[in-house]
Amino acid sequence: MENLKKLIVCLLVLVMAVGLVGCGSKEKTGENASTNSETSTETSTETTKTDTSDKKDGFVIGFANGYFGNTWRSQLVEDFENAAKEYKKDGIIKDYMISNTNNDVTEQINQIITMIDAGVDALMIDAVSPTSIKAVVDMAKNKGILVVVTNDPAAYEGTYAVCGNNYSWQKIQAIWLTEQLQEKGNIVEISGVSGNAADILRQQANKDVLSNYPDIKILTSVPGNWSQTDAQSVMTTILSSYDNIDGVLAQDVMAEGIIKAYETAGKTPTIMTGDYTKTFFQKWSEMPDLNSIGVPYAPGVSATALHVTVKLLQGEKLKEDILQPNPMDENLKNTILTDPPYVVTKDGDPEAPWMEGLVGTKAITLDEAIEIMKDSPDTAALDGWLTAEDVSEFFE
Amino acid sequence: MLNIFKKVKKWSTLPALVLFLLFLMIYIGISGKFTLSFLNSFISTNTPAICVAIGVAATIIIGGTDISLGSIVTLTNVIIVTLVGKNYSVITAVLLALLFATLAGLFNGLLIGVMRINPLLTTFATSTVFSGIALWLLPYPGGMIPYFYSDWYNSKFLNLIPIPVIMIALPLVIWLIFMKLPFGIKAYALGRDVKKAYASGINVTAIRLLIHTFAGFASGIAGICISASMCAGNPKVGDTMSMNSIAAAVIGGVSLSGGVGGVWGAIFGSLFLSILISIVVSANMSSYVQSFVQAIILLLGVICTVMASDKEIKNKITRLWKKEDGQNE
Amino acid sequence: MNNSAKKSNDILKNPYLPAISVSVVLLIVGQILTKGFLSQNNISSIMMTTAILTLASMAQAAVVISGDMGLDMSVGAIMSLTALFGPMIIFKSNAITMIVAVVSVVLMGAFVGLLNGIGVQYLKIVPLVMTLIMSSVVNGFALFITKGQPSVSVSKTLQGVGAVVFGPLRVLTLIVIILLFVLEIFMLRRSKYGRSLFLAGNNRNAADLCGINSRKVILIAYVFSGLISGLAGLMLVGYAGSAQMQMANQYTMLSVAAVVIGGTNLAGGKGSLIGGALGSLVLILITNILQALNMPAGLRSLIQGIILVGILMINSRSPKLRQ
Repeated sequence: MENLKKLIVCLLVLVMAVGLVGCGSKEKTGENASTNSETSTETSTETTKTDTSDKKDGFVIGFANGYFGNTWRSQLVEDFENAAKEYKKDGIIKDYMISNTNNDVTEQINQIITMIDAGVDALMIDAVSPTSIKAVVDMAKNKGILVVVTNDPAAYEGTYAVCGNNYSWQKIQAIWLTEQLQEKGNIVEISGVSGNAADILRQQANKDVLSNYPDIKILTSVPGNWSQTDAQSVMTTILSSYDNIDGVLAQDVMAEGIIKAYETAGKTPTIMTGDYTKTFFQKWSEMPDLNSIGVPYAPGVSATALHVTVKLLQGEKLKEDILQPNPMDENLKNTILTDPPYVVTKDGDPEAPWMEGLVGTKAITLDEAIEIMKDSPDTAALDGWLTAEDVSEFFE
Repeated sequence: MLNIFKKVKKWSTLPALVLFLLFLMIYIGISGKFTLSFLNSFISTNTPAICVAIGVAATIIIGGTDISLGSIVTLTNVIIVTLVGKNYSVITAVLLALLFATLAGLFNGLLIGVMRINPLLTTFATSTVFSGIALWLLPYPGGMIPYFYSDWYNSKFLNLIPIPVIMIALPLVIWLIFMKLPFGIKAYALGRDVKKAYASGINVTAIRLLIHTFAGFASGIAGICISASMCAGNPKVGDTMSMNSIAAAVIGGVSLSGGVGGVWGAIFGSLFLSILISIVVSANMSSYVQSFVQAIILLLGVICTVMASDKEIKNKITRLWKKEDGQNE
Repeated sequence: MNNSAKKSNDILKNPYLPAISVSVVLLIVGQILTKGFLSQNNISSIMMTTAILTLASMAQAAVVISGDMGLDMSVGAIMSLTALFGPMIIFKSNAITMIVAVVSVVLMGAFVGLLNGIGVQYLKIVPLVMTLIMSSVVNGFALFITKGQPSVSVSKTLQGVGAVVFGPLRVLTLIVIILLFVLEIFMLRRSKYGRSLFLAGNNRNAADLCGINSRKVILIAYVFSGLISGLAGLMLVGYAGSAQMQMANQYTMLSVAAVVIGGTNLAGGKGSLIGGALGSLVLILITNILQALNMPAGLRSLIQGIILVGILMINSRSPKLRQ
């Protein structure tokens, strides 16, 4: 009887297993070791990436993404995948692995050790938190695996980072706002998630820019948590408490919530920083009195990062002055910071004061933005990335 | 009496063990190899989750739950990092943090045992309190623990047993000692039926107090391990551990109605959940399918375990087979 | 003399009194701390968020009353699901597509509720675990179908839930209030189903002996929960005007807290929908005030936790075993 029960359980489990293996949508092209029945001790560590300079193709790359709860992140992963597929066609990449987790530190570590075990040549990691991946970074370095931190900065010796430039991204919007207000007025600041690295950098950018304009007063500064509903809620409270607001200085993923708060209160926003999704652009085009700006914080940074990774794997050397201090640790100069691909305003002026000093950024009009996005899903972000050719400019 | 308890415990663990071994083999099949280094990393990565699963299993066995353990893990990590930042020695910081974790468990025990508040609600409220304290102490990820801490964690005791295994052994051994004492039977009896247990003179309050303190201690150990893995602090590190550990325990055959199951089941359940993650990554499924598949397998796994230990279903199948070939056991 | 003393005694014993008085206190505190707190705009916004949470807590209340440690941890996930898919059904701005949308989201939610109920009643999986895993399945499903990039434009008709009816009262708030009273009276209090639900929640065996099909009654409770959660998701997206993945996930735990604050017993067999509504109000007020105070997130969380522990110590103690 006991045996029967065990049998039934085993059968059920077998059904699950068959279903699971059948679900795998890609063939695993990794090597099948003939010694898979024995355990093999760790091979002595080879030296680092300089050894792989003989190999120019056939790389295996793993991409570990730490958050998957919004469209932006889906685009991040999709941009990586599209770029990787191109490389796969040319044989430069033999295979790639992608893993996603929702802010689960342990799950991400499990996913990364699986990739390490599968024998990847490089790991691109968008970490759940800047401090959570030390153990796997060490493991990867010990095995000679290249580690490129992607999108969310994290500072570890012996790795590279490719991230969007949060500081300059926010600076553009702050300068734009001061120009629109003609250097005086009352504003409210709506920030992101308190304590997040990106948020800290952006708030600093605001502070630095506004310190030059003493006639612009910040009535209040509240976190909107990069959530439309939270932003709507705090903006409602703000609108109830102040009736002399000239402008709103916010971050991304919150503009529609802010507009909704205005609408529900029976008011219209005049000057506010905007967003870069298709729905926002459409909304903006329906509001002729709205003066706004849309600066994409592009998920395409993953594609840029992939190009960088491939070149590094191929043994190329980065130019002297390309690497900048890591946003998480000033003393570590290992980061390539990317500027936004576009700046969207109603008139798209490329000579405007906020466009100064940007690399590879195009000023476009609202109509052009809508045209670019006409086939995208509604919640998609206006996206862009550096091509492989652009990236080769970074290398000697 | 003791024998029956042992039998029940053993049976309830089996599905989790089978699931884990089977999926481990699937992983080996898909990845094509099985290295000692992978096993090593796998265990040391999942030690925190396993410790929490042991803690939560204890609270479930006595007929309650505890969804605050993840926040206690976070709190431990944050306290270690904060104290090290204030120039305490690592050892002092670790021991103090462990003490706080145990006290947190005691706090739960007081509310549940002495004030008799529903365990789910209590720990829901206390998890907000603990994670609030953690977030207040360390608003964003940061801090630094000297790297020799993680070196120690990755080393072997007496060059033989990896430290992570010792860390798992700490709460496990304590639990096994509990089981050997009369305390063990009383705990299970309490889980089975509160009123009957009380009527037979069992000190319900004391057991609840002790078990929840134990769960806090186990979470403290988990916090120590995860701090070693990161060598830094993260105020949200334990967020998902609370619910994951309950799922692990349930798959491990620990019944939420109480009095059934053992911590070994929780350990294997936890291992199963982790190897599932590795399989999903290794099988190279498309991103959009990964979480769906993981959730479905989890569902099937729980159904499996619950059905395998459900008396009614066992009886139905028994009767079915007895009818078919009139065989005796 | 005696009569009026008795009446005031009755008022004091009203189970809703603590929640109501706390709400009044909070409103006053809010106004003291932030000017403009009691303004029409702010109040109407608070009422709308409370209305959505009330729907979620109604769903939760039904399941909790059904007993056996009944809980629905998939409320938030179902809401997120219908928040995403609901607007996709409304492709034209007219009344008929609205009705179709409402029916569809309600059916979607009811289906998930049905799965929950089956898992709990027939597969004997504990509600906490079944609904928890179900929420992962639902989230994974939403991700799978939309490929993480949902195409959601929320039509003007749906956004009309934010339209003003009278003073601070908006369409959404009005709908929920009507629904609340209708369901409380006709489903819980006056119907046979309601009585069966309370009995089954209170003592399953006794209910079975009385000839009540407990299994069916409890199953219906889970279906009801999914159904209402589905509706809540649609209301949420109408209020917010846009949708994101997993936008309602926090509502799960909030609905549990609301139900408890409102006096529903987690062991089952006792409680009310109105209690859940009042609990929702208290919760939203606390959250709003703490948010307006702009304190660090950790401190906010800590205070919310302490308040909750305090409420539990007063409200939810089980009787001494000695009895």
